Amino acid sequence: MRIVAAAIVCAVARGLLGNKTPAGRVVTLVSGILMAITVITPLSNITFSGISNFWDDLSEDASKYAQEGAYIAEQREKDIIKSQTEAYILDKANRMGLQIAVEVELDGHNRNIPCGVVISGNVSPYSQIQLESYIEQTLGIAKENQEWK
Amino acid sequence: MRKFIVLLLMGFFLIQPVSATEFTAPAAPESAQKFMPSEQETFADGLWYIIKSAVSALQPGLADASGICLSLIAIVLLVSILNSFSESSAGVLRLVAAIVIGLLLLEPANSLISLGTNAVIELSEYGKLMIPVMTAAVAAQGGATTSAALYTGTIFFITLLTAFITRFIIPALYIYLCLCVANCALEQDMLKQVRDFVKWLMTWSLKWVLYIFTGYISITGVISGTVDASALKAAKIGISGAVPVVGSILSDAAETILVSAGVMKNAAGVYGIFAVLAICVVPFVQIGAHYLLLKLTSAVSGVFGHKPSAELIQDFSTGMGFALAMTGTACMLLLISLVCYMKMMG
Repeated sequence: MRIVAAAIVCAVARGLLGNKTPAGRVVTLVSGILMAITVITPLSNITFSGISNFWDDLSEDASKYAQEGAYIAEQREKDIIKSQTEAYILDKANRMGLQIAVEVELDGHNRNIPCGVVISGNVSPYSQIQLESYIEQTLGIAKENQEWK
Repeated sequence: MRKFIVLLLMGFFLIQPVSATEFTAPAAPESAQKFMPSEQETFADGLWYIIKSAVSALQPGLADASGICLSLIAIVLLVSILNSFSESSAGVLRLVAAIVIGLLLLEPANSLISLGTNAVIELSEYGKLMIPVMTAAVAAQGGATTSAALYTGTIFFITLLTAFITRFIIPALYIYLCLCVANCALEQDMLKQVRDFVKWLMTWSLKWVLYIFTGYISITGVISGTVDASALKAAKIGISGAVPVVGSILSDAAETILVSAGVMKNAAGVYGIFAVLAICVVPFVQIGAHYLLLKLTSAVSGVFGHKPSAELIQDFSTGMGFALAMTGTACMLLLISLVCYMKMMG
C-alpha cells in the first residue's frame, strides 16, 4: 500500500507542477528518490534464516514417511514369506498324510530368510526324520533349528 | 473331492495378506466433494464429470458477470459521447469514468481473487496430506531415497508458493488494480511504470517458481532414481543367491509387494489428481469466464473511442489473468508432483 500511496502522491505533485518549471523538475527528482526508497525498504527487511531450518524439518519428515512406507512393505513381505513357507511345509506334510501345525521364524537381519520352524502334531519318528530332511534340503533350515512339539 | 477341498484350502492359505488400508488418499475437501466423480470407467470419464459439474456451477455467476459487462459497455459509450461534445472536460470525464469502472469492477475482482486464494490454500492443505501417502507408497516400492527427496521438494515449494501468493501476489494484485484505476484517472507515466513493474514482478515470480520446481523434480528424479534402482538390483542379486525354494519365495514376496504397492500408489494418485482438479476447477472456470468476458468487453469498449476506459477494463482482465495464473500454478505444482510420484518405480 505504501508503494501505491507514494506513486499516487508523486503523480499528483507532478501533475500539478508539470515537468517544465524548475519546481517541477525538483518534484520529479524528489518523486524518483521517494519511489526508490519506498520500493527498496521492504526488500531490505526480507530474511532467509528460517528457510534452512524449514528445509531440515522437511527432510526429517520426508525420511520419517519414507521409513514408514518401507516398514509397512517389510512387514507385509515378512507376512508373505512366513505364510508361503508355512504353506510349503504343510503341503509336503499333507502329501505325507501328516496332521501338523507349523510356525516359521524369519531372520530379520538377513533379508527375512526362514531360519527356524516350530512344528506341532503327533508324528511318527520316521516321518519326522523325513520331513526334517526335506525342510533342511529345500528351505535351508538346519535340523537344530527345527523344534518339534 | 477331499483332495480338491484340501487344495482349495491350501489355495486360500497362499493368498497374499496385503491390505490397501495403508496407502489410501485423504478424502477431498468438503467444498470439492460434489465435483468428485463417484463412479467412472476411465480417467477421461472422471475428468469429463468434473468439467461438467464445474460448468453447471458457473451458470448463475455468469449472468451477474454479463450484467456488469453490459453496464461497463454502457458507461464507456456514455463517456465517449460526452467526451465528443466537450473536449475541455476530458480530464474530469476520465476521472469519473475511472472511479465508476473501478467501483463496478473492484467488488467482483475482490471476490474472485478471494476464491482463487482459498483454492490455493485448500490445495496446499490437501497436498500436505496427500504427499506423505504417496511418499510412503513409493518407499514401499523400494524408492525411499527418491520419494524422500520429492517430498522435501514438493512440500517446500507448496509452502513457499502458498506463502508467496498470500503475502506477495495477492497484495501485489490489489496494488496493481489500484494503480490501474489511478493511472486511468490521472494518466501519469510514473503510475504506468510502477504498474508495469508490479505486473512484470508477478508474472516473472510465478513463472520462475514453477520452472525451479520442475527443474528440481527432474534432477532429483534422475539422481535419486539411480540410487534406488541400484539398491533394488543389489537386493535382487542377494535373493537369487539364496536356496532355490527360499529364493523363489523371497522373490515372489518382493514382487507381490512391488506390484501391490504400485497399484495402491496409482489408485491414490488418480484420486489425488481428481481431488486437486475438483478443488481448483470452480475458481479456475469462474475466474477464466470473467477474464474472457472482460477481454471481450474491453475489445467492444475500444470501438467507442475512449481509450483510457477501455484500457482500464483491459487491465482488470489482466488482473483476473493473474488470479487465474496463481491458482493454475498451485494446481500445476501439485499435479506435476503427483504424476512424478505415479511414474516413479513403475
